[in-house]
Amino acid sequence: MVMWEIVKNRIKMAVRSKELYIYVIGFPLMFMIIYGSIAPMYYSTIETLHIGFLTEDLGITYELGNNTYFENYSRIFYEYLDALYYESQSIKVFTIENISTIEEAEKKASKLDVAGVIHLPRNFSASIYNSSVSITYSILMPIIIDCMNEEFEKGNVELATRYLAALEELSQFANKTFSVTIFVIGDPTYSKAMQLYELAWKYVANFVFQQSRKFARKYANYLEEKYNITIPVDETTGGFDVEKSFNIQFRRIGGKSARETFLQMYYSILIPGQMIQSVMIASVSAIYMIGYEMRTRILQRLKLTKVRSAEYIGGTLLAWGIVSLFLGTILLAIAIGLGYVQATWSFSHILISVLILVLAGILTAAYSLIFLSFTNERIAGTFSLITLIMISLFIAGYFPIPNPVLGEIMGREFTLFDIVPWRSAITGLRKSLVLTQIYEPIDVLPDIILLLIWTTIYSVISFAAFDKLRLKKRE
Amino acid sequence: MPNVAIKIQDLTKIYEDNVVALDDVSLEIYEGEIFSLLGPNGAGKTTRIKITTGQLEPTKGDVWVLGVHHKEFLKSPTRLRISYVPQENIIWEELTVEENMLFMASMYKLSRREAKQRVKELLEDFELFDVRKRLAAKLSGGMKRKLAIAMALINDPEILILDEPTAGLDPRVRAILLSDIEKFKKTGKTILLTTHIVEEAERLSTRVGIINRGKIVAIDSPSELKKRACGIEILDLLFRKLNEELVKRLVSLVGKDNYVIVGDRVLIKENNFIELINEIRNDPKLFESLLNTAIRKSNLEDAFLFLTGTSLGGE
Repeated sequence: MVMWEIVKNRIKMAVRSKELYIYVIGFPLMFMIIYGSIAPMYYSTIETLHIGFLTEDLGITYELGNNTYFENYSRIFYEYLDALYYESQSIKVFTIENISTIEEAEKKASKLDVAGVIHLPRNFSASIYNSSVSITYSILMPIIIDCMNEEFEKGNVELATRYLAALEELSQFANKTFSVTIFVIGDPTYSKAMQLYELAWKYVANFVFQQSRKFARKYANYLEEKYNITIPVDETTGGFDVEKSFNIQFRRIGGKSARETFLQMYYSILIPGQMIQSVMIASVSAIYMIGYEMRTRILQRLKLTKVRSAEYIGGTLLAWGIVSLFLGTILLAIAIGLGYVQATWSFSHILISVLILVLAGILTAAYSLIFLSFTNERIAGTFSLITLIMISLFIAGYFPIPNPVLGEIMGREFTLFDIVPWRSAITGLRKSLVLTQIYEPIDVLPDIILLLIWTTIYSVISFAAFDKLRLKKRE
Repeated sequence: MPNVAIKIQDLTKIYEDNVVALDDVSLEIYEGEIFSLLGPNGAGKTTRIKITTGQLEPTKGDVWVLGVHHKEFLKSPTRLRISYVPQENIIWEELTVEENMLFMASMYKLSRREAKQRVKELLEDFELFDVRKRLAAKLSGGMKRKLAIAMALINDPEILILDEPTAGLDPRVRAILLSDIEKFKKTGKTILLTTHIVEEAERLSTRVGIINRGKIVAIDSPSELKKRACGIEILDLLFRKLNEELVKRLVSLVGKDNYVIVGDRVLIKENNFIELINEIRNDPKLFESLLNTAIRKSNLEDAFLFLTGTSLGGE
C-alpha cells in the first residue's frame, strides 16, 4: 500500500536527519534554562495568594496542674494565616478556601484554582504542643535558674528552694524534641505554588514561635501560682534554630509517596509541555522535508506516478504522527531515566498518551503543510518556528500567564489557551502521564476530543490547500 | 514514417515578467528516437519540458504526448508511460540507494516482487548494486545522477525526458553517464534530452533541435545539421586582437554570409580553404595578427554558431 510506504520512508528520513535531534534535545533544554532563570522573578511578587486549607488535625488534650485543656491548633493556624498582611502594605497575604479531601486538593491545585493547598496532618496540634513545651523549657529554664541563684545569693533559701521545685517540674520537658511537619500540595511549575511554599516556611516558623511564647507565658503563670514565685518572661526572651525543627514538605500534584527532590518535582510536571513543545518545534523538520520535495521537483515528478493526493498528504501526516510519538517517547525515557517521572501507568493511560502524541504530530504536520501551500520552505520554516516557539511558551504552563475560562466542554473548562490546538495535547498528556493518581483515563476524554477536533480541522484545511496549491496547480 | 511520440504545435510561453520563453514552437518527436534540444541556458528548453510533462501551462499552443493533449495529460493514464529527470536530482537524501528505488517503485504501485526484481536489474545496469545500502546523501555527484535516472526508469517508461542530465558533472563521470544513456538507444525508448553540451547531443541524438531565444532554429540529424549550417569542414582562425579593419579585410576575401566571429576567433565555411589561407598570407596586416589557423571537421557548436550567430555560452 503506497500510503504505508510513504509513512515508512518518511519516518526513516525523519529519524535519520540530525536536525530532528537538535529540535528534540536542544530546544527543550534551551527553554528549561531560559525558564529556570526567569521563573524566580515571579516568586518575589507581592500579591494575595488564593490558597486551599486542608486539615486532618485531631487536636491535642493536655493537663496543666488540675486543669485539662484542649487545643485545636489548626483552627488557630487558619485564623493566623487569614489575618496576615504584607508589612507596611494593606495587602492580604492569603485568601483561604477550605478543602475537605486530598483528591479535591490535588484537583484544585492541578487546575490552578488555588496557588497550592496547605495540608495539616493528624498530629499537627500534637506537634505544635510538643514544640511549645520544648521551646517553653528553653525559654523558662535559664530565667528560673537566674532567679534561683539570685535568691540563694541574697540568702532567701526558702524562696530559692521554691524556684528549685519549679525547675524540677519544668525539667519534665527537658528532653522533649519536636518536629512540625506540614505539607504544601501544588504544581511545582506554577510560580504561585512555589511562592506559597516559600511563605509557608516563614509563617509556620512564626506561628510556632508565637504559640510557644503563649504557652511559655501560660506555663510560667502556672508555676508562679503553684510555687508562689515570679518568673520575668518578656516578649523577646528565647531564640531558636527553627530550620532544624520544621519540615515543610512540598508534595507535587499526582506525586507518589516517594520523596522527590524539588528538581524532580519541577521537571515531572514540565515534561508533557516539553514533549509537545518538541513535537511543535520539530515541525520545522517536516517543513524542510516537504520543502525539499518541492524544491527538487520530486513533487512534480510524483504527479507522473500513480500516487494520489490523499495518499501523499495522508501518508505525510500519519508519518509525522508516528515521528511525534518517537520524539515524545525519547523525552519521556530521558525523564524516567533521570527519575523525574514516577507515575504508575495503566494500559489505558499509555494508550491515551500514544494517541495524544500521534494526534499532536498529525496536527503539527498539517500546520506545516498549510504554510507550505502558500510559500517556500525557508519562509514557512522560519515563520513556523517563530510562531510555534511563541505559542508553546504561552501554553506549556511555564509562566503564570492569565488564562481566562471561556466555557465548559464535557465537564472540562475551556480556557483561552484551548483555542491553541496543542494546548489540549499538553493538558491531556499531563493528566495521562504525570497526574495519573488524580485523573482517571475517562477524565482525559474531553482533552482528546478537543485535540481530535482541532486535528481534523487542520488536516482538512491542509489537504485542501496543499492539494489545490501544490499538487494540482500548474505553474 | 514512424509514429509521433510528442507533438508540439505553435507553442508559446510568456512568463509574468514578459519574458518570452517559447515563441511559436512546433516540432514532432518520433517513437524510438533520441531527440536533443540544444541551446544555451535560458533558451527555453526546460520550459518546453515542463509544458510537456504537464507542470506548466502554455500561453498558447498545444502539446500531445502519445496522443494525449497537455490539458488532459496529468489526469490520463498516459502520464504513467513517460518519465522525467529534471536538472535537480530527484532522490531522497536520507534513504539508501535501494530504498530510493523501492520508494519510487511503490509510487507506481508495483508489487513487492516486481519492484525488487526491477530495482535489482536497474541497479546492476547502472553499476549501483554494490552501493545499494549506502545513503543517497553520501553518493558522489555522478552516482546521484545515475540513481536519479535509474529511478526514472523504474516504471519502464516509453518516453524518458532528461533535462541537462550531465550538468555539473566532471568530464570523466559525464563520459560514464553518457555511455549509460547510450545503452537506451537499443531499447527502442523515446528519449527527449535537453542540453547545452555539444558532445552530448552529437553523440547520443538521432535528431537535434537547435533552440535559441525561445525559437526552434533548425531540426535535423547531427550530420545533416552540420552539413546544412556550415559544411563538413570549417576554417578556424584565431587572431591576436580582432578589430573592425581586420574583419573588413577578411569579409572581402570570404564573402558576407560565410563566416561567424566568436571573440577573436573567426570561423569560415564553404570555401576553398587552401586558397583562402594563401590569400590571408598575402595580406600582411591579416597575417601579422593571425595566431593560429586550423582546418577541422565541423561540430554542432559550429552549426549552432552559424545558425544563430551566438555561441552556446551565450556570447
